[in-house]
Amino acid sequence: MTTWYSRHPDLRLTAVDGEGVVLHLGSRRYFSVNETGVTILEALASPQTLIDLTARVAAEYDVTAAAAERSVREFLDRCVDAHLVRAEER
Amino acid sequence: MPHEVSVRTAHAGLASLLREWLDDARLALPRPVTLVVEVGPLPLSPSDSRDVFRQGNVAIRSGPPIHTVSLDWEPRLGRAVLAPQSTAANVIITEQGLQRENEMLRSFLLNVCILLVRRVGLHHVHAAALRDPHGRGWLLAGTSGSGKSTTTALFARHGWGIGTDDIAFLAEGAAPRVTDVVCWRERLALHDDAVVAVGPDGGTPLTARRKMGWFPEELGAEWLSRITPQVILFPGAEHGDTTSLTPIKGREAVTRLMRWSPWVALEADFADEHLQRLSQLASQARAFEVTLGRDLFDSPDRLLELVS
Repeated sequence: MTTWYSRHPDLRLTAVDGEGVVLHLGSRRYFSVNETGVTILEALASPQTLIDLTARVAAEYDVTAAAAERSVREFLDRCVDAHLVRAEER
Repeated sequence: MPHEVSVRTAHAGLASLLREWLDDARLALPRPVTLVVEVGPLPLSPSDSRDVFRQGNVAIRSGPPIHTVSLDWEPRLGRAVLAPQSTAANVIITEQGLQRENEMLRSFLLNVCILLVRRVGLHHVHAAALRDPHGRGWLLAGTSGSGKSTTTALFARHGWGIGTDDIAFLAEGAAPRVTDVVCWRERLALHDDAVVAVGPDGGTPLTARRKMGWFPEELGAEWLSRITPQVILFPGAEHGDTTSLTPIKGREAVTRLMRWSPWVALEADFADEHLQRLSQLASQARAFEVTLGRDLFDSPDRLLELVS
């Protein structure tokens, strides 16, 4: 089984100067996200695995694969808790 | 040729009142929208379990599973329903509601209009909109009591063009990739202490609001229907002796604009465009947190100096 991540349908994302703001229409809450967060959330327009996202972040930023995975995992966990991202086992 | 908010009602007195209110507002729309208003008792409505977004005494419900937007003016003074994508709002006002003219116009029907004009691409933000003597557009976004009206009235007397002191609508700009502010013209409303500080003569008593009001032209200013903001100020609730500015980043400006434009989270069909307008605005303008100081009354150019 692999965990696939995707954006919650209520999520709206806008980028400003490379950083981002996320709005959840259901809860009417909004959040700021940094440049890496924007990269991840943009990728999640279609379902992705942790491995996919880690590879994307490691390729785009000057970080080790281990650091990228840790960063992506922490970000996804926070987004799942805030109902911005859905995690589905397939 | 811009369009306007049109009114259909069989109640002659209300028709006249609404026409005067909307004619004063001069809101220029890219497409027409219509208020269809009845006066009478409210029908019993089926229960609506959707989350409530509250603006004063108006409870707004939107989204699934019904997909209409409903506005209930409480306690059972009026009701409006907007069908998805429709550019007409069906409104019922009770006889009791009619007696509360100021609340009916500035709270209930203004909220109806805010949601109605969203359907033709105008997205409300609680902000003042002005143009300085150099031709730059300014937006002051903040809560009531933060100094928007006082600052707007002060600058109206010092050569600035004025759009609005609180009812601003973000819209597609006249230039590509630009967001403009389309302005709702109404009287700039000042408390007694602000009247003393700004010093205008005359004015119209706004009895229900315990303020005095002046249209921009009555203060010697040109009223502007549309302004392109290049500077955004977020005035804090605290006022000091000295005016000061702190620059803020684009994403912080967007989240602050969202606070003063909370309709962004209503109706998914329009949320993307609304969010894009806020984001575009934050990209095109420099944004600052500002403490509005008493020094502005003696030196209104102080803000221009701080921003330049």
